[in-house]
Amino acid sequence: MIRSRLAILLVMALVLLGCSARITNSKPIVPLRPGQTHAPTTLTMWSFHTGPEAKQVQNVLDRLHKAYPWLTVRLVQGKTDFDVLQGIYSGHPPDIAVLAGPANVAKFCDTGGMPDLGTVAQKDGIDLAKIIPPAVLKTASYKGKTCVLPWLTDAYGLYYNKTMFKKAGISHPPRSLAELEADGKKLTTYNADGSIKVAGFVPLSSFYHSGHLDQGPAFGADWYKNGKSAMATDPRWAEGLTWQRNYERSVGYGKLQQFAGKIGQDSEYTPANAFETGQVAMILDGEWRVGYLNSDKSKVDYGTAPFPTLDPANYGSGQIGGTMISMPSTAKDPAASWVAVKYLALNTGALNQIADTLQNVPTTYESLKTSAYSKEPPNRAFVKILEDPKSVWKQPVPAGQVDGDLQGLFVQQYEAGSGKNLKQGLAKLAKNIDSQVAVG
Amino acid sequence: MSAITTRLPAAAASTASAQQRKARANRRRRLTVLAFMSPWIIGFCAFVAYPMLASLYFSFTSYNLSSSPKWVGLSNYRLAFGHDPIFWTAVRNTVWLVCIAVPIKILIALGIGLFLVRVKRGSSFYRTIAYLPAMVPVVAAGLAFTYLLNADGPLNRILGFFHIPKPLWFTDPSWAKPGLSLMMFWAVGNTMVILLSSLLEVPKDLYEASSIDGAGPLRQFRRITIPMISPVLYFALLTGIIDGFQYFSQAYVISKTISPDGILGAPNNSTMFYGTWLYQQGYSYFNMGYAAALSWVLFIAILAVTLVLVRTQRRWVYYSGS
Repeated sequence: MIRSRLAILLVMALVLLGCSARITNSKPIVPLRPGQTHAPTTLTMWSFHTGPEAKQVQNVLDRLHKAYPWLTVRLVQGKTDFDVLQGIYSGHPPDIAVLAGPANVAKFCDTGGMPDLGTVAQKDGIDLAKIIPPAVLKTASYKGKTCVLPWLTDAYGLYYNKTMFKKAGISHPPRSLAELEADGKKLTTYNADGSIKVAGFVPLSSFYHSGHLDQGPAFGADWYKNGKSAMATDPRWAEGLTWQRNYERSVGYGKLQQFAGKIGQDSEYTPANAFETGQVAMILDGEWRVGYLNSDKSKVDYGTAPFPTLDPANYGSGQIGGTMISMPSTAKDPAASWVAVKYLALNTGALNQIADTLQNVPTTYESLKTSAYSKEPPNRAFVKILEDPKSVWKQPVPAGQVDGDLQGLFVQQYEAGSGKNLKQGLAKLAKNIDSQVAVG
Repeated sequence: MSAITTRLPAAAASTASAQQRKARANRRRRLTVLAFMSPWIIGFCAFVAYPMLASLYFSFTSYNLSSSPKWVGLSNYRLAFGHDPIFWTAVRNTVWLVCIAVPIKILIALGIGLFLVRVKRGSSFYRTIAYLPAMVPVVAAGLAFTYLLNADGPLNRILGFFHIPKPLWFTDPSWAKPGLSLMMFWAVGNTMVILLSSLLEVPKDLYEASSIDGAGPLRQFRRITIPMISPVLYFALLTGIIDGFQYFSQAYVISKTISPDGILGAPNNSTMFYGTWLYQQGYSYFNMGYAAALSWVLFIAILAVTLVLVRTQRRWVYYSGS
């Protein structure tokens, strides 16, 4: 009886172990030689894109088919990073995968789920460093491996209301956080009951995309040093957060909350957006806002600029990071997948087409020069941000976005007034981040 | 002698063959039963037992889908109880929901039930109206409530008209849970229906006899209604608590709507419940090992609370047939 129970347990343990995921059958990628023929093939591409955006992606895939008639790529819409991960490790991967952002690049790189495309490109006679600006190439790499290629990116900068600036006698957009605070206060007007009527700037981390204020190069702080969270060891975190909280306190945390609540977070992607309606004079936002300002027919006369920084030496840079394209290591026809990935991410005509239609910043030197998107005056600031070598996305870790989420929670609590001792709080935060990163 | 000796082995042989026949019949019967039960057994093993055992095993591993699970012993459990601040935030929020929102929800459902029992005309109409919100999909309800509870939304305008302070429902962390609770109270239809049916089943003669004895409505409610519907109240409480522990959809929809990057738990993790944190760990961070450990902690917590309720029900639940 005992023997049979032990046997059952052993079988169960073996079944459990057997059912755990593994990467199998990863084939070496041998790029096709110029002029080399390939049998007609159909590949599957998983992407997060849906709706009108997916239509634009399909148009570029049609262009790819025209360039390579033997190659047809079938688009599967609405696939998340998690779906891609599941597909790869369950043995049913797509042939090409599009990730929504850099958050999981390190995970795919670290575990070999996606191949080092830098090496593949080298074999194909391509030097990625000569084609893609270093800051954006960094968002696609982890520990020296480039497992994905950037396929358009977001860049965060400052949008400012020129009419309000002129009225307040402000001649140029702020360059430092101190200037941002001074201009913000100058531009803020109040109702008779003391509530905010028009906000110069809303520094609350929960307001629209202001959360990125403390995540990007505005503070210029490192996320990790020697493999450990630098929240407590890099003094710029404490300096930046102290500035942010002091700014909020000087205007009134409650007043700012009341103002943000009245506007409603859900107004961000609607014509009721506070910047588009002139309720806020300056916002931190991504390059996509230009498109919204146009489509919503906003009457605001606005300008764009890099976001102010704590350290004047960092001015001009900004937070970047966007869509990534790659192929699973287990793709059934890696040479064909590489042809598609290479064309979509590096071909100037194809990249210009998708950048011009989706209104995101293109990610090669050539497209940054030649796309219609880059020539539009409001987009110039974002193109420059992308070209700035100091522009960053937070240092990637295989644990993904958990560090950013924990930091975001800490900042919100600190803003609300909990945790009087910032240094102790940051030390605890660093410990919590390290614990979570260890799990990932 | 020889006749006896030949008869004895024959009798023994016939007994043995009878036993064998019986054993064969038993085995056949068992196999027939098993054959009829096999769809359920296969389903149970494949979709309940195996996933549970697998998740128990994964809870002792570091497993992120991207490589084989690595045995880490109790590390995931230590992380949850020792170094994960959001775990405790999620526990506090969930306990708040279970201890405050769930009982209020049952009271509201009972109140509506009591009202509907007394309605003479148009009872079907009122019952339909009271049940209708329970049929609204969670996503639609969530979007509607973000509008209704906007700082400048309809509810706050009404409050402002009466000079009552207007809360920042889904912006202020201290008001986010009450805001979600309002959504929960709005959709009490399912609980209300079972309470209403039990209220209708309370024998009228009990009320008549008690009123002859001089009992007022409050006394009748306390001494007759509550004991008579106590099994249904117990059921509503038990299922409400289990649902409360697993609360997810409403919090997910609301925080995805109100936070800039669709971060769960917004604002300030005030809507981060146990279920949402478990989801975040599993499906956003791909920490399947840790998520499995969290799910086992939840399972044990629900099991413990359920056992306590089952053990204590004899003290307050009245079964008229027993």
